[in-house]
Amino acid sequence: MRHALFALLCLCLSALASAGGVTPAEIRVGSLQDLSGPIASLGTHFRNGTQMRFDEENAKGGVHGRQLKLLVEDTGYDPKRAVLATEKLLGTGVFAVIHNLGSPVVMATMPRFLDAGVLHLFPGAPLKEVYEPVHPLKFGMSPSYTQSVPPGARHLIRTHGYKRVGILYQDDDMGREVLRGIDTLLGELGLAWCERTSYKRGATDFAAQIAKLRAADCDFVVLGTVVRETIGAYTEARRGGWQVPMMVTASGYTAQVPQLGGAAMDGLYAVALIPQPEPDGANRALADWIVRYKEKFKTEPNTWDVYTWVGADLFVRALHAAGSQPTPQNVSAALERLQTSRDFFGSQPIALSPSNHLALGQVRVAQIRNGRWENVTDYLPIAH
Amino acid sequence: MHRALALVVLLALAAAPAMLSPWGLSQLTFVAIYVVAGTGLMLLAGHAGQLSLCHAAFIGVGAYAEAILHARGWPLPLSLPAAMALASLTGIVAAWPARKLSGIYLAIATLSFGFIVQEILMRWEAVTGGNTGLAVTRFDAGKLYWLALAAALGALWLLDRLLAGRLGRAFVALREDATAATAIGVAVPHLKVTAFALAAAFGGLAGALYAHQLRFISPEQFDWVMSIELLMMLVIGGLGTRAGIVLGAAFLIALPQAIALLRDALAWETPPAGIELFAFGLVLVLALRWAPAGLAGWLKKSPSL
Repeated sequence: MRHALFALLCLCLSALASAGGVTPAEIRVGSLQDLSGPIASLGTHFRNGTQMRFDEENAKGGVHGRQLKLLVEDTGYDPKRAVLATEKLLGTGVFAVIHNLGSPVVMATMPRFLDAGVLHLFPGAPLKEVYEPVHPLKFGMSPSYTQSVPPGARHLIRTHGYKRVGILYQDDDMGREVLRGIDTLLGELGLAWCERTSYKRGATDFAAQIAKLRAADCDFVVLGTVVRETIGAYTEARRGGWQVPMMVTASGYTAQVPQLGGAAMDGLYAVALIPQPEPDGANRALADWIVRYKEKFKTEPNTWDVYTWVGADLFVRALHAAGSQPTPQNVSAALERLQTSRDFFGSQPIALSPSNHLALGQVRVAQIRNGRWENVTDYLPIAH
Repeated sequence: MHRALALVVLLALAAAPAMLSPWGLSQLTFVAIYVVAGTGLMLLAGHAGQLSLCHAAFIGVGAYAEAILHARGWPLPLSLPAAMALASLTGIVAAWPARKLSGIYLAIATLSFGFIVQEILMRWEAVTGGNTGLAVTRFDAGKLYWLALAAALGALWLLDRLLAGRLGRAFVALREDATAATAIGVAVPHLKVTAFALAAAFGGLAGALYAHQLRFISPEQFDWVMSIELLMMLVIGGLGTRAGIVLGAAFLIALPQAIALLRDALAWETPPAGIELFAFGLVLVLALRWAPAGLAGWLKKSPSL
């Protein structure tokens, strides 16, 4: 018992912290990332894209003379660690948090940041709760799957006249959101489900699900899948000689899908929110950005770097617009006035407003052709 | 010496809400919650010798019961015992296969039971909110700390009382040799059910506190990883000792935070991704290598303490 008491004593002597976030020299911005958990492959790029934009601004002298300091905490996708990291960031003093990653992490920590009066910007969690109902301190980046998937599916169904729509979805909140979105769309279009089938997270064999969809004679299949499952399901269909068109959510719109799946992935459609940083045919600004990214991080950039670069860019623009004495209120007001046009990545124009705190309000349909993603449509408005 | 240290610690714990930053207080609250959960598992695995891999399920049932009942206006004096009772009932169901099983077979059976409970939490959307999760009523951080601290001290005291009595001796007899225990008149199946029911009640209490501490719960939080984490916590702390529960909980919660502080102090421009996990794993392996009897055993041997 003596040792237990000693341990508790040691813990009681933990550090005290100060509040703040903005000093004459810097603006501190927190970010909760998964750098060691199940979505660490995303987390690293979330951090890099944000850091890249902040470093660019710092190299130009910062915002109104202040350097932007990014404080990244690794949560390992564990809400418990995320709550502790939140308390740590709040204790250190942060002006805003940006691109916090993972739905459970965001849901457990967002109320704490908002209660503390900290701006909660563009989290990597496609949840309506992060931008609705409108709150002066919270701004979302990507729409929920219920909103983002139907426009892409509607375009393909109308263009190609598909009548027998099926779905393969991951049996969790992400997959069920896709299911709900397409369910509503089919109701609007006066179509009935051809077949619905699901898999448990972590599954690697999709033979039974593909056989079921094929037996129902679907002429179009929506994939509520992530990267590995997209490749598994698509190649399973092609291996059996079934050439049905398939469309995956924005989660599958990554360079990894054609890279890992190879030539068999040609023809797959996806809903795209943010462009891929493709070096082939890149404009000069993009080519230069890719070179600088590779020099800095010793790895290839992907769509998540662009996603977070664009989010960080919105924040930087709002900080400039808010003036030399930034407060959460005047930066929020500046964000609400922000209008951007297409940038060198080809990102969609963004128009935030007092009634709209969602940045990416449009999607594009892309398709894998000759091993790389190509845009099929221009930007289409999302469902509301 | 023992009394003086106890007094200092109690004073420090009493002063914690005024002295510590919210970050420090949050850590202490998590440690207290994990001590409550660990006490249940220590009783079951450490003293009664029943290797359970579904402790997260008991915590989950307690968390959901508390979140739902509290949201419906139940006051804490009612909702907390209800959460414990529901978790305890879950423990009794989990014990059903355990009556005839032991060792690795029991581990597999309890692991499967954990999957079933998690699946129910996911599917019963009308009540649990399914995979989307459930927001939990906000609770003042200071009050929650006191509640968790009282629960942890109460759990440790109760474990002490239980082990000092007839039931505690029966548990040890069961752990050492179930056949011999039967021969001396211990009703082994009944005793296993009792152990599971008690352990699950502690788990349920921890879950109820955990729900308020996190303010958001979802089924994926109560998976097998959490059960393994709790077992690891007891092994690191020292199986079979009360000090081990506290040391293990402090290790599990505070070490990643200490590593994060160390990382900050090194002031890397871009710290290597996953460095914290790597450091945690390294310390874990070293701790097991140099303190196979757990931190409690290691401190006992150390002449300086």
